[in-house]
Amino acid sequence: MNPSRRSLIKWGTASGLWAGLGGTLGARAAARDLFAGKNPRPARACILLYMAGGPSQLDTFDPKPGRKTGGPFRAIPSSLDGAPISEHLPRLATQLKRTALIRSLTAKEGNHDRARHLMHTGYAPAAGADHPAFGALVAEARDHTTGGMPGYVSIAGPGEPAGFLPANYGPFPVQSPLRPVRHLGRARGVDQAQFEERLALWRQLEDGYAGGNGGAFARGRRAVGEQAAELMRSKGLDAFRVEARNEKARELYGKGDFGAGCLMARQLVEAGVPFVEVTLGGWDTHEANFERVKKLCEAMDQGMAALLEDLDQRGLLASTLVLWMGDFGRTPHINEKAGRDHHPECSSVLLAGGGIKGGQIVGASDQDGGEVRDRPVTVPDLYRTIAHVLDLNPEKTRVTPAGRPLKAVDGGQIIPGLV
Amino acid sequence: MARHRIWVLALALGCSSASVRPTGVAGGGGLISQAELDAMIEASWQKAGVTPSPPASDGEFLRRATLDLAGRPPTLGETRVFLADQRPDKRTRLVDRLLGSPEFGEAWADRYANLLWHEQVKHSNRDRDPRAWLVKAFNENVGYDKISGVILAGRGDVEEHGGLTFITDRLRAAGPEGLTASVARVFLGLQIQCAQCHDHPYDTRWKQEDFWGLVAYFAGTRVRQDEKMMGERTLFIYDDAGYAMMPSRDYSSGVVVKPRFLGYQPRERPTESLRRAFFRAVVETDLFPKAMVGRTWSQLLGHGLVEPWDDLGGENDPHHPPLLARLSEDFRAGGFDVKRLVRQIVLSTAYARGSAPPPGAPDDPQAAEVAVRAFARAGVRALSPEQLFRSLVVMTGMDVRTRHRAKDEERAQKQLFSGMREFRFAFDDDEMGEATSFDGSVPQALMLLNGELSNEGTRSGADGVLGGILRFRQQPADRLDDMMLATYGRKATEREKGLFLDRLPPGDGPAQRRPYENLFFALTISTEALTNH
Repeated sequence: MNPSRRSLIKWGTASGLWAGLGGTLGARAAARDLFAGKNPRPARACILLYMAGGPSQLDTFDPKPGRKTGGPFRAIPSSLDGAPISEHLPRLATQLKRTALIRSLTAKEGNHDRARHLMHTGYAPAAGADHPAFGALVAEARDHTTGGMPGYVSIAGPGEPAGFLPANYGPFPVQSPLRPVRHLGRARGVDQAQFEERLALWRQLEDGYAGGNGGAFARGRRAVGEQAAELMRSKGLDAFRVEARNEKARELYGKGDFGAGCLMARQLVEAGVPFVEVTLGGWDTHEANFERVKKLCEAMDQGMAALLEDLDQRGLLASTLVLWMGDFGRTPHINEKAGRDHHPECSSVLLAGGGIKGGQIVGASDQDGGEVRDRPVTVPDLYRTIAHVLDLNPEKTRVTPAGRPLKAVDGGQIIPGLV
Repeated sequence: MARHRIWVLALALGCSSASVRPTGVAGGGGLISQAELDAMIEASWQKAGVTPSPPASDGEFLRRATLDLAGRPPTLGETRVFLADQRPDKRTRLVDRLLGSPEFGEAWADRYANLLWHEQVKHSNRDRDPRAWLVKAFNENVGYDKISGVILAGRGDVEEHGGLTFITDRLRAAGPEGLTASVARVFLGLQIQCAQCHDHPYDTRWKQEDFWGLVAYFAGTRVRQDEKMMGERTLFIYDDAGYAMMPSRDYSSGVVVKPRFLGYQPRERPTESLRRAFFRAVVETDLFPKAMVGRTWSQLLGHGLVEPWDDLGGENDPHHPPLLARLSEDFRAGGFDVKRLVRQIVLSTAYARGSAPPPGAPDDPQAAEVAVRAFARAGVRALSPEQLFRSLVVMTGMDVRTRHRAKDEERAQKQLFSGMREFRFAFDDDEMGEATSFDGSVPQALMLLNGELSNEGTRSGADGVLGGILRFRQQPADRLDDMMLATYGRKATEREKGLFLDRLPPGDGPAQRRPYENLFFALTISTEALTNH
């Protein structure tokens, strides 16, 4: 719905004004206020575990056993005092002491597309305002420090686009962590020398066109092409492979897509990627909620617990924020198909690492888990907190192509006691 | 910096008063002749104080028009034939041939499918592609008002009238509010979606109630899913009575808003649906032809008479240039004839401009930008994902090759379609946009550098374009010219000859072929080959 991000970019790059500004100088001046400068030990990276479809808080981290709508799952004690969780998350139960568990996230978006947008950008969707994914903001701020790697990688899910920011800060897609990423390596039958020769010829053509009528267009495309070539040469490229690399790690994380995705996320963070999203889909359990959640929990429990443990053992947890969330929560009411429906009013979110003070529960739901009873947390609160953890400037204001000034974070307050 | 400029522009545009004429039919300027159109364009150059660039060369014009009207560049053969043609009216003949070709409907359906049902296009498979309806409508040139009528006011089985997909798709993805915003943008050239949550911030014409008055027309639109025979599912659209609930700023309460068309209540006819009444009101406004003319102009010239085309502001906005008003009157008087509109623009003196500066004029970026914005010089335009895909296919001859290898047309079409889908995914990042961002992203660059189409296509096999060039041309200089013609639509410049000729050996053994393959690869993925200019 944004007509003019493209025309803006086209205009922006094509205009002499922009071209004459001198790329680096402008970029550096602009980069300064991307950081808040208020967190002396900011996290270097963020891993978002995104539960697409909307995970049931009641059957995962906010169980209500014994209530009429509590469902059949038992609750087991966890390593976080006073936070029993679903019996189907035994590994996470031992890791929970590292996390801050928010049980009182509240929002208003009950439609998947709208909620996805809200949870990824911190803004409710509004036609004409093409909000960038938070991952894209991180990619922008950490640009030039990634050793040629992308700033935002999305594994097994689409992620959320860069909105009105340059497309390049948007998610670099890894369709499946178990299959090689397409086009990262040279095409069949093209050796290194031939590839370099082709690049050299291509540069000559682009320079010729840039000096003629192609102008800023050709220069812009050449810059992105060079970035692609840089990625192909990047030392971190191996991080895009999990297959057959480390049998022990594969066992630990679980061999399915989500486990492999978590493992790849850890590798990518080690290789310099500042924002990685791993999607686990299938949480839209309008039917057969309990069977399906049980199955999803197996993959989630193993992958996420292994990730927290592994990051900690490698000394990376202190500098890596791990975030667990989804579209929205689900209703206490169990419908006639043994399903639970969309419920944005109350859901759970987990944060760990990156300087987050773990071992605490924030807020509480009511006895059935459908209403926030204590310390409501909004999505802007959550993003303001995350921005602080990564030291991004929440007040950084950009003017959208539609002419509307937008802050990095839509108000909110840092969640007390978390950082 | 550039963003800031837009903000200022938006402010400047926003200070005139509200206007959508309450009733009646717009001004009766009647048809406009090609000469009259050119005179207006020349007058606008004078007013802007720019000297027009000399006309485009035949090669430039052929490539530009073929990309625009057939959605692909000309083949090497077509280029040779056109350059050799001595008839004085060959450009008119070319344009008429392109408009009469079935490829026209395909190319325009690509554009409009992206504009109208972006998500559907991305995810549809070939057998259930609603785009087929658009292909037919554009090829049969049924009239833009008829097309819009089906899209906005049609009822019934969605699969029989692909145009209905617009409503079902937008309703599902964005609800009545999102649908209304899309309708206002596409059919009225209005950006009033900001008024969804508050009175428009800088365009004082649009109040929150105006937006919700439009929403009310669609609030009763229902989509029913029926099981057909054989368990196949099908969607039906029908209408209930509607009103909209306009929320307060904090969404804590709401006000009922009845259907209201931008400040007035169109006469109701008891038997017609709300959407039909809405459609009648839309067609009566001047905005309806203006949005279409502005969009078409922008599509063919790279930017709008009003920029952007979908921010017209109001019907009689003083910022609308006479050219837009006059072409819009012509469009109505001619019965909303899309091919006529396209023909007028493509044969105009603006479309015919070359991309070099006028002789003797300084060639600085600033002057170039001013000239391009005044339609006095051709600029560089991004290709859509579909144009990009078809360009690579045509430049390399991969379509011929796919047909050879697949041995039957059906299978070849399937393979080509799946290749196209991959391009749509990789090169399309924006909802409801019509042209992809140009600089692109790293995954896109990787796809060009390492993808199958560019790498396989530029091999010198017997059934590819390069193979043909090496077989039929012996001299390296002729081969270089043909490679440039196949990719850029022009022969090599002196600079290019100096750079490349001494790398290109005579003969066509495997060792001699490699340097040609390398250069042909570099040519096909370069900016001059993958833009329109």
